[in-house]
This record gives sequence, C-alpha cells and structure tokens, in this order.
Amino acid sequence: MPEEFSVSLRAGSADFAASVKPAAPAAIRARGNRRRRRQALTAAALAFAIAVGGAGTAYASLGRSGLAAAPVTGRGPSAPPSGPGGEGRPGIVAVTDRGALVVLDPLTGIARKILVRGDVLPGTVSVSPDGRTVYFAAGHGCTGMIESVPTAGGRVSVIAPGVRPAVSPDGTRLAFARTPCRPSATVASPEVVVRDLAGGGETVLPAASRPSSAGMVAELSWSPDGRRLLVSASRPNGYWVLAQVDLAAARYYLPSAGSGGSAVPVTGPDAAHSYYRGGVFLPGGDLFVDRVCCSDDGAAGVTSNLLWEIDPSGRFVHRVAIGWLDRDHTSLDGDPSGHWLLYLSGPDLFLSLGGAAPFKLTTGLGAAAWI
Amino acid sequence: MRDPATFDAFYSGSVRRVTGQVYAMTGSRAEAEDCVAEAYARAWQRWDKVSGYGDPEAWVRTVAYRVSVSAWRKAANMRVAHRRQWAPDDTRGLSPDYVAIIAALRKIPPRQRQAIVLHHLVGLSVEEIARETGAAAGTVKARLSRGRQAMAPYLADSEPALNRKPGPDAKPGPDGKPGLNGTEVACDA
Repeated sequence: MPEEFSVSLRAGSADFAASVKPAAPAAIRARGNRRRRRQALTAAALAFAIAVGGAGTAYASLGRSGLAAAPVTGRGPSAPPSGPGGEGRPGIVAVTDRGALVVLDPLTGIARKILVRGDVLPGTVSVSPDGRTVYFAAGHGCTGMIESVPTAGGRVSVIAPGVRPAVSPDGTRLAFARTPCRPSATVASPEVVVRDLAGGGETVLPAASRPSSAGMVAELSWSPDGRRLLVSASRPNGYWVLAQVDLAAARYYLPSAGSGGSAVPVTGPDAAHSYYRGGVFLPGGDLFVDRVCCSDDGAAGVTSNLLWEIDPSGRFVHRVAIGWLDRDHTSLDGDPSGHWLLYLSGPDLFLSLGGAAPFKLTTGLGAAAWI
Repeated sequence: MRDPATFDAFYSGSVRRVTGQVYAMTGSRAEAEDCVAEAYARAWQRWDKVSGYGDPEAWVRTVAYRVSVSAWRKAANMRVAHRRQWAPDDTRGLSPDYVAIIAALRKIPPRQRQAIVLHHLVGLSVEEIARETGAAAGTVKARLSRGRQAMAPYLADSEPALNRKPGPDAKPGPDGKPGLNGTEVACDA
C-alpha cells in the first residue's frame, strides 16, 4: 500500500481542514429549515395541481357511469363505503346536476361513492357533526321531502316534508324550510321548521305575521352554540335578507319589530344598495356570506358579487373571493376545523384553504357540503 | 424531535474534516464548502433520523458528494463552474505534495477519485467503500487500482511511490494488472 501517498494526503487534508472557516451551526440549521419549508410548499403545490388536473374529468366519469340513465324512482343506497378523504382535506358530499347524491374525492373532485342515485333536489345538503349522516331533500309531490342517508352508504330514511335541511351542531335537531301545499292560485310563504330528530316534535316559525311576506328560504345555518339560526330568505319584492333568529324568543324568521330576529347589517361600500344573497355560520362564530351589490334591475344590475367573511355584526373580516356577476353563489360552507371553505359558483365547486384565493375543484353540482 | 444541541455538536466536530474530504473529491474549495453546507442543512432537515444512524458523518459526506455531482446542479451552476475552472483555489499554507495530489486527483475520473479519497484519506476498507458508494467490492478495487495508475504520471516528481514502474517480480493488482508500486495486491489492507 502506498503509505507515503496516504500520509501526504492526510497531512495535507488536515492542514486544509484547519484553514476551513465553516458557517455557524445556526446558519446551517436555518438553511435546513428553509429547505423544509420549500419542500412543504412544493408538496402543497403538487397536490393542488393534481386536484385541478383531476377536476376536468370529474363529471365526465359520472356521465359515463350510467347515472343519467338511472330511473327517477330508483333511489337507494349504492356502493359500499370507501376510505377516508385525502391528506387532511375533509371529504365532500354533493348533489350532482343529475340529482345524485355523491361523496367526492376531496383532492380530485371525482365522485368516489354514490349514496343516492337520483331525484335529490339541488340547493342544500347538510352533514351531521359526527360526519356519519347526510341530510338532503328529495323531490316529492308539491314540496320536497327531507331524507337522510349514512355517508358510508346504506338505507335512506325519510324524515319530514321540507327542503333546505340544516342539522344542528349537536346533531339533535334539524332545521328546514317547508312550504305548505296550497292551490296554485293561493300564495304560500315558506315556514322554517326546527324538528327534534329523536322525538319528532317541531317548532314552526312563519315568515311574518302576514302570509305573503317571504318569497323563498334559500339557506339555513346554525350558530356554533345552537341557539340561533341564520336564515337567508327572499321577500316578494325580490330583495334578499340574511336574518339571525334567536330560537328561544323568535316568533317569525323575517326581521321585524317583535319577531325575535334581526337582519345582519350590511356594511362596506354601497351598503344601502347591497344585500346578502346567502350566508352561513363558520365554526368560530363569524359568517361566510355572499354580498351582492345593486341589483335593482335583476342580474343585469349586479355590479359586485363578493364572498366575504364578516362578524355577526356585519363588520368585514376577510375577502375570500370575487364572484361572477351573472351567477348565483350557493352552498357556502366551512368545515368543522375552520380551515376550509367551499361554495358553488353556478355549477362549479370552489375550495379555499384558510380564506386564501379559491380554486375550482370540479363542476356539474347543485349543492355541496363538507363531511 | 430535532435537537439543535446535538446537531451543533456534530456539525462543529466534523465539518472541517468532511470539507477536507469533499475538497479532495471535488478539487474545488468553494464547491466543497458549498456542498458540505448543503449536506449539513439536509442533515438538520431530517436530524431526527440522521442522528440515529451509526455514522452520520458518512451520511453527510455521501450527500455532499452526490450534491457535487448532481447533473442538475452542474447545469444550474455551469457559468460559475466555468469561472472556477479558470480561478484556481488559494493554496497558500498547503504543502506542495498535497497540492500536487489534489491536482492529480482532479485529472482522474470522479468515481476513481472518490474511491481513492475514501480509502487513502478517510481510511475506509474496500467493503466500507462499497457500502458507502453502493458499488460492488470488485468495482471498488478496480477503481482504486485504475485511479492510482491514472494518477501516477501526474505525481512523478512529488510521489515516487505511486510512480514506480512495475518490477520484474510485480504481482498482479486487484484488476489483474500489475500493481503500481510493484508490491500492492490488495486495497483493503
């Protein structure tokens, strides 16, 4: 072995090492921490790209599955449950524009499971706080029928006539809207019903003392403490109102003197001509709302359509997105952790993490909610 | 859980030595310092695992070498590397023999250079080099033998032991060819 060579190399390397002036350990650790953050961001961007890439195929696959050909009367449980949602993003349940109730893969937007094959009404779905039961409205006679089905798949249970179901934070009560069946010439205002899921007892809140004071109820949402309901309703004159209803004191759900409810104040620019087209409570107590401005002339008169987070007094907290002027923005929802928001812009499902700029996950939907 | 104290102690105790070894593999002080810093940063990034390895220093040395030969890195730093080619390192304070060895190492293929440094500088056996580089032991022996052969002409003035012609009693080297110094038959002695 060439010992002289090794000796020369080692001696020289020792001299060289002595001349090295390394960076401070803290600087090296900081460099490692930056690498760690960069890799986390890269992973998040990759997941986002995969989600966006998969969205385009979401309902093409549903269309090919023969779902459209399913008979309207053939509703019932479908495939057995699959695994949990992907990588920390909560699962999503949705109503397709063909009336199916499905569980979506939260990363790709592709339907992973069909819970009900058809005849589900668009507008609202609601998931119990334990994530095990989905409440939805099915087409039934002159009004809808509130039904439920396990998110893992199973038999459909019929609950009561009505639409727009919203289950309470403790899972014991269900709020929904019900419009009594009347002869076509008779105007009927929808009622808001709060039903005890165990005993079946109901509390009914009319719109107001006069029967023609409301056009429709678009959305219902429970406050995190379960004491108030947020009611998004239209008046016969076409204007919308977002009312907070104290369930212990309310007599009517539309705000008026002595009704027990109050309108969420509209703040910000053009407040006098703006209104909330819809809104829901978030887990922290703030509201996620669709704020529309200046629609004296119907959709053509809409000059802004903003998705905002506000506090219950109407104070602006955060702008989530700028909506399309010619679309309705519905199915607003925040996940139980408070990290994710979703909404439908027309048929398109958008998600937002932490209120950041939303991205389109998929399309072809009539309602959606976090599991 | 990553413990900064143990990392700092490991870093402070080994960084100069590892930089010297990587310098011998790359032939560039600047590149060696940069690659070693990057390797230690990666070690801290996953220190909860690396600290449990039997020889974290070998892990850092391997990562630093891989960083130095990364094709991506070479492409990204092509212009810098070009400038370095024409800007020799400061060799003040280093022995002429050592400078000549580094210069000779730069002239042989990288894998042979790595094997020679790991064997003659780090002191690893053929089997240990095989484990660290992922090559077969026979391949390591061949690289060592051919590397020495390739270096010999460049060390004629400063390293007679490597420049000696095979004598009449020369035994074959690890690859079946005559040993460079006429006596060597094994590299893992």
